[in-house]
Amino acid sequence: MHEFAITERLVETALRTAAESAGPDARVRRVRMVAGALHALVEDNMQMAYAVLTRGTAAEGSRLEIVRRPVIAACGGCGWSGEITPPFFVCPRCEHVGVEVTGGKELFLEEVETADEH
Amino acid sequence: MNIKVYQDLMGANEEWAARTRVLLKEKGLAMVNLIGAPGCGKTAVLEVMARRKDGPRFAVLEGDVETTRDAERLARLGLTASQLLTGGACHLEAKLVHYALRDLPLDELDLVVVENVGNMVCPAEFDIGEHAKVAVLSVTEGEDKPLKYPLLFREAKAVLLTKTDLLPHLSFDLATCLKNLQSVNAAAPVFQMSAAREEGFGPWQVWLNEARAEARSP
Repeated sequence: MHEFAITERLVETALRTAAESAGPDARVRRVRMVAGALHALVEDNMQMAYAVLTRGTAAEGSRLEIVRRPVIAACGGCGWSGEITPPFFVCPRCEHVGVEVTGGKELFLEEVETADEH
Repeated sequence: MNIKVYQDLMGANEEWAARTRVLLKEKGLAMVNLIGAPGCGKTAVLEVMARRKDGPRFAVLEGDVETTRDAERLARLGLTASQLLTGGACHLEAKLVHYALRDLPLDELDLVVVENVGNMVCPAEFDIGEHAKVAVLSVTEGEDKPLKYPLLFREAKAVLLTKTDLLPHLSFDLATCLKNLQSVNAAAPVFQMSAAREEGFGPWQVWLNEARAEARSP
């Protein structure tokens, strides 16, 4: 359940961002985060943690979007680069086993949408 | 209103991990983070290391959800061991480790071993400022574990394959296990060992001594 710890930071950052950019009374409507496929995150757990952690805050009832990014690797053997599927960190072209992972470890808050004022 | 943010969600944890790295550098200390399932033999490995005289001088930060039993087990062998209780959380985070580290007698040590909470998923996600994550896998768990938990085995700089004295009694396929480890992480050395028989610890101690020498180099 490391999802809870990660979501805690997500909600804190989103609320702070909304207040700083759109004023102290801003309501959060949508939050988008990006998570590389190397992070073993269970989306249902993230959504549940998000619902619990936003209760009673300016983000209560808002939507959490989770964008997954694939694992990208570069082969030191033949120079191939592209998407690989864990758990096999093997070059699909030359079967070299020491590929370098260049993408898939991202974990960040990308965007916060606040409700427009009327 | 759409606000673009690009804020790393591990940022706060990373700050504490960075402080730990500065402290370790200042003291010329190595720190390794042992990660494995409950019951894979992490504490038993530390007990053998405490009895041996060929390894670095070390203290242990014991991560558990509850009880101080593991720290007591190690203290009985004369080791300095602090128990870190997460009170339910499934992993150690950098801030807690940093505070506990500061309370150790760092000038009398070569190495700090963090025994993370028994879990193969969550601890692999968190940088605690260590020089190396070390995956611990016992032969009773099955040869496909590296494929089931690729993040841990991918992050690990070394793998301890424990309880090898039990191999004659198991259908565990050692060659397949080593092949699986290789396909997830070709760079990490695998140390096969038995704590019950105190076998296979020599190469692991050499690796730790090297990690320590590296930590001391400018």
